[in-house]
Amino acid sequence: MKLDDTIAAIATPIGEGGLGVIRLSGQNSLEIIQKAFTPKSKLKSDSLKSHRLYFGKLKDKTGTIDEVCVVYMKAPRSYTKENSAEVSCHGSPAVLRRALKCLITNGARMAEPGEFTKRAFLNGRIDLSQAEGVIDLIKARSEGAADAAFKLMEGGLSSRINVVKEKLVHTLAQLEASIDFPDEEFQTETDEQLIKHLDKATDRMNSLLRSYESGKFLKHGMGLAIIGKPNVGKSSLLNALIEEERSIVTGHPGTTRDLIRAETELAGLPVELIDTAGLHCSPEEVEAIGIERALKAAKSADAVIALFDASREWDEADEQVLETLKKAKIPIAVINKTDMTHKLNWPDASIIPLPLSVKERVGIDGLLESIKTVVSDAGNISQEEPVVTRTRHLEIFKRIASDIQRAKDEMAIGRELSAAGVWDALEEIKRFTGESYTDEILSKIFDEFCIGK
Amino acid sequence: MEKFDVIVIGGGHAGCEAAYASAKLGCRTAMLIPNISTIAKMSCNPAIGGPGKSQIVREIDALGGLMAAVIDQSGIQFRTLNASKGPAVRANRAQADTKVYEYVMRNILDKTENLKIIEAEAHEIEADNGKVKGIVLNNGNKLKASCVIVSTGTFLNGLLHTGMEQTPGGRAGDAPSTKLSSSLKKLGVKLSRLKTGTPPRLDKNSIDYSALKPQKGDSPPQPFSYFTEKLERPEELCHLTWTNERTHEVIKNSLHRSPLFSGVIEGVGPRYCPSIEDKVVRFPEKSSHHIFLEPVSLDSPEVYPNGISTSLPADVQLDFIRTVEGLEKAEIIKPGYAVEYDFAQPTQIYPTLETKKVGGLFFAGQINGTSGYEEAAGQGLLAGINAARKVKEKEPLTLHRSKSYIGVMIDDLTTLGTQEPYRMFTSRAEHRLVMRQDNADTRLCETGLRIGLLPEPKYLAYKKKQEKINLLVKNLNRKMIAPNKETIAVLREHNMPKINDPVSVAQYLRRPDVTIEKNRIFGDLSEFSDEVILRAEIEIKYEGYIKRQEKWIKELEGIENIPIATGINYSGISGLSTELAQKLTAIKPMTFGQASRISGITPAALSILMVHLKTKKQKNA
Ligand SMILES: Cc1cc2nc3c(=O)[nH]c(=O)nc-3n(C[C@H](O)[C@H](O)[C@H](O)COP(=O)(O)OP(=O)(O)OC[C@H]3O[C@@H](n4cnc5c(N)ncnc54)[C@H](O)[C@@H]3O)c2cc1C
Ligand SMILES: Nc1nc2c(ncn2[C@@H]2O[C@H](COP(=O)(O)OP(=O)(O)OP(=O)(O)O)[C@@H](O)[C@H]2O)c(=O)[nH]1
Ligand SMILES: [Mg+2]
Repeated sequence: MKLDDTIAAIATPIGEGGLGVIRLSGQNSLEIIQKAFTPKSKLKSDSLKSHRLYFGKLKDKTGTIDEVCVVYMKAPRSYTKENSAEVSCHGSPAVLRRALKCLITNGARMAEPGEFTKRAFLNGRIDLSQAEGVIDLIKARSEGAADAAFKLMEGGLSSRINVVKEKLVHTLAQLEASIDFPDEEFQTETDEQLIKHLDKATDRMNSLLRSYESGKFLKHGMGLAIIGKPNVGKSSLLNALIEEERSIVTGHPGTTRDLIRAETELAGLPVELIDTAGLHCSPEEVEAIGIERALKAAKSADAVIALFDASREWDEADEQVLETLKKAKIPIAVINKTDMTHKLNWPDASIIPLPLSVKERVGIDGLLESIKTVVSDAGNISQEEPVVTRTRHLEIFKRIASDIQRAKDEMAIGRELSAAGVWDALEEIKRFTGESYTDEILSKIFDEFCIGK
Repeated sequence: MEKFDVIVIGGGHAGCEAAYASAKLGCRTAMLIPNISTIAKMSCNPAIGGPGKSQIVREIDALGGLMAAVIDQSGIQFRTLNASKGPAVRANRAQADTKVYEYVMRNILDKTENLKIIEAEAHEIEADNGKVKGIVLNNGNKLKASCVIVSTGTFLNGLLHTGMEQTPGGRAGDAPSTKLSSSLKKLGVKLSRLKTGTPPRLDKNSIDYSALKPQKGDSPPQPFSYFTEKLERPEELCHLTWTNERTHEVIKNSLHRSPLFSGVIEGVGPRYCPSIEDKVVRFPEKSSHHIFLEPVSLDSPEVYPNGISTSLPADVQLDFIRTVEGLEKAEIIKPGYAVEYDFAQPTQIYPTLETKKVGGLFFAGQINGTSGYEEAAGQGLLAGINAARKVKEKEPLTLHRSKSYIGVMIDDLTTLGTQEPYRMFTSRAEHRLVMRQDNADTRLCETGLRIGLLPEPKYLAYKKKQEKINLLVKNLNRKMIAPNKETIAVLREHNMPKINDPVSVAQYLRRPDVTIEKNRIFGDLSEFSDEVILRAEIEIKYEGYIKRQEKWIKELEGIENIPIATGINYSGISGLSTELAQKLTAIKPMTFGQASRISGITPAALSILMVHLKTKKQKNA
């Protein structure tokens, strides 16, 4: 890859749309755009001014391509920190392709996938984690995933980690000050006080680590198995949730024999729903295999919805369903067919089931709501908190947490060892963001302590 | 015209080590100094060592240099700092009888074969075609040499400030070097300004010690050099006193007469060594600051009041000093002052200390932006070694930052440059758990022998001790103790923690509450010296941590040591931004590791560089 040439690409998705945007980045952006663009009103100076919107015509040898709006952004005030330009055309694929071709004829090169972001990263506008956020954002499969990616791109995780880093830098400055200036008169904080700072850092790390579970859901989606005894309405619920007749529904118990998978988006999350065979106690052979698969699916799913039938009495099969539900990572109990006469005696006061009638479409929104809260509870994330979605980050964060633990454990043995733990944790943070901190610690020492001979 | 292999300009702490090393390695060497009675003079405080610095002194010793041996012969108080914070940050510090220090150093140099000390000032460095030819002296005489080491400390364009009064000078009592400064500029060396300061010297006989707290050293005192058998000099005391609110009042009322606060001084001073006026202004909440009263020499009435470096006018100095307890009647022998001087941003030299502009021209010491005797001496030694190796057409010696503090210092300087006088701290060394002052010999004696500076008998003494340490470590790992009656009784008798299961003595020793004692648990220790026992203990106790860091260093090494040719054309590497290409061109990193530490370099840029190096290698292969 070269940084010295000017790249161009269609920045909006291919397809008919109101608007289509072409992006240019590199040294010669201005020159290239000016060759093809004629502004409507005469320019006061020779060239386009930076960060101004101009209206006019984009032309190639054969004539006018489109009426467009052009904005030129002079380095470093642009996404890539290079000279850049954006051309807004009408959204037809043919127009866009012709416009792009025209810019390439005038000296630009087709950009490789992700090259604009790569340049922003290479030119130091964004750190590594932010670049990853941009990539995630582009690839986001759902609203929630896009939201998490956006936070990452904005530096959401970086800013979280910065809070941890501040605690660590503070602690390390205290440790190092007492080591490097043993003859000085100042008092550094006590071991107990320092451990308190580290405890706070640990809390932060733990909540980031916990967010990975939901972060994983955001990015890769969550698996949600629907279980229950035969005929409780599992297949009906699946169909209702995906708004499509995917699974066969009949009045006969034992209709569904195998796993039925369906992808959808629920409450901003990509979700894979799994309909299963009804669980009961005396199955015949095919059913038995189906039940085995159902149990397996329940075990590996991120969340399990167990359905119970309001119109029938509690029985042994329900008991089995409840037991399976209790082992789930995220359990959700639902009583279906609440439109019928209520005969079910709910046996377990510690679990509060949601009422539902698939038939009457009552309670589906409530179910969606509780899926959402249950997920964010599991990851301990609020809407404002960024979540960890990448395994690279998870691995780094795990190491940071264990380094901090070491620093706490070893405080009593000697400050140099404790410092080594903090140091390692900071080294990991550096890996996450790619910045340096040695000077920072010395500066801190000099700012906070009166030192000197 | 007299011909030498190596000329060392300056007889300070860098110059002495450089001249000695070069001469010892068989080069005909000249050391120039304008005033021969100032060889190895301590311009500021009369002490050697401290955290980070003592490690450097030990490294100099292990490589075959002088500083450790000289301070051992001239020290009048020895202390161990950081005893409770762990062995890696433990540091020795010694008060020097500065006159004896100078005398001992001069004596060694006088007796060094191949070394000629010339009392003269260097005015000009002659170079031709980017190579050093020789120098011109103040009397017009020329000396020829293929290598020249400049170690002129604070002398280049030195300007002394006391109050609003400015006098050109290298330090109090010495003229500045102005001609040499211009000559360096003519050679294309870029010079910038730094500043440092020193307190007034007080008359011992005018101080009332009766009210002050005396400070003693350790007993028994620990020598710096691995090869010192015994410290001979009787101990002297230091004393502790404090400034008070009245002192600060006097200072605050005179700030308008301070060159620092009125903007007369332009050079940047060290943050770790602020003047007393700086401290009073920056930390207004502190109502007192400590002052250590340190004797300068038994042969001199001068006392160095550590903690009140100042460039206020002399009358103000006397006024504020007399507000301090014990100093009510103090007389000033020499007022304190600040010195501003030229230094060469050290990104202009390679990690061998040779300049990038002129082949055969080396810089060492304060000229590279450092401050401190130990830092200067460490660089002097390396410059002397590398000048000699260049003359003998041998590979240059570079010290790695995972092996030595000298390596950390030189890597920091040559890779990042410095914006203030650079002083060593242990926190600069990311591998400090393996770079302790106790094991500098293990780290460097082998190198000292290989380059020919460490004499064989000293090497053998090191080797013998090392074998003893290894033996003891092995013994302690092999010996098992079980919770039987006999052992329990011994443990109880010596007040040592209980054991519940059989363990090796080494395992037992790793417990934080256990230290080696001379009793039956640890076996027969009679054949081991105290030093050997201590070092074996450190090695066992910290084995886990040391292994961790060693593993880390190993992991890095593969990438770290990939060589980069100095002639590489960075602007031709596609993908590198112009800014980084310029930086790399200026710094000319010698290894991939060094490149990775350049400020502002991004992981992405490094991978581009790596790809470039790899494809180049393939093409060459
Ligand atoms: C006022 C003052 C305050 C200081 N304060 C501190 C402090 O607080 N802490 C600290 O760690 N360090 C301090 N230092 C610094 C310490 O003295 C130096 O870091 C150390 O001595 C540097 O060693 P060097 O060998 O580079 O230079 P120096 O020891 O200064 O030696 C320079 C040598 O070069 C000679 N020379 C100069 N020009 C020429 C020439 N043209 N021809 C021939 N010879 C020449 C000089 O005569 C001298 O022998 C202070 C120094 C001064 C002057
Ligand atoms: N009254 C009422 N009937 C419902 C409701 N939900 C589903 N049913 C009916 O219950 C019967 C069984 O529905 P399914 O969705 O096939 O049930 P299932 O749990 O998938 O059954 P198996 O696949 O046999 O295990 C069908 O006749 C549905 O129309 C409800 O909320 N109320
Ligand atoms: Mg079904």
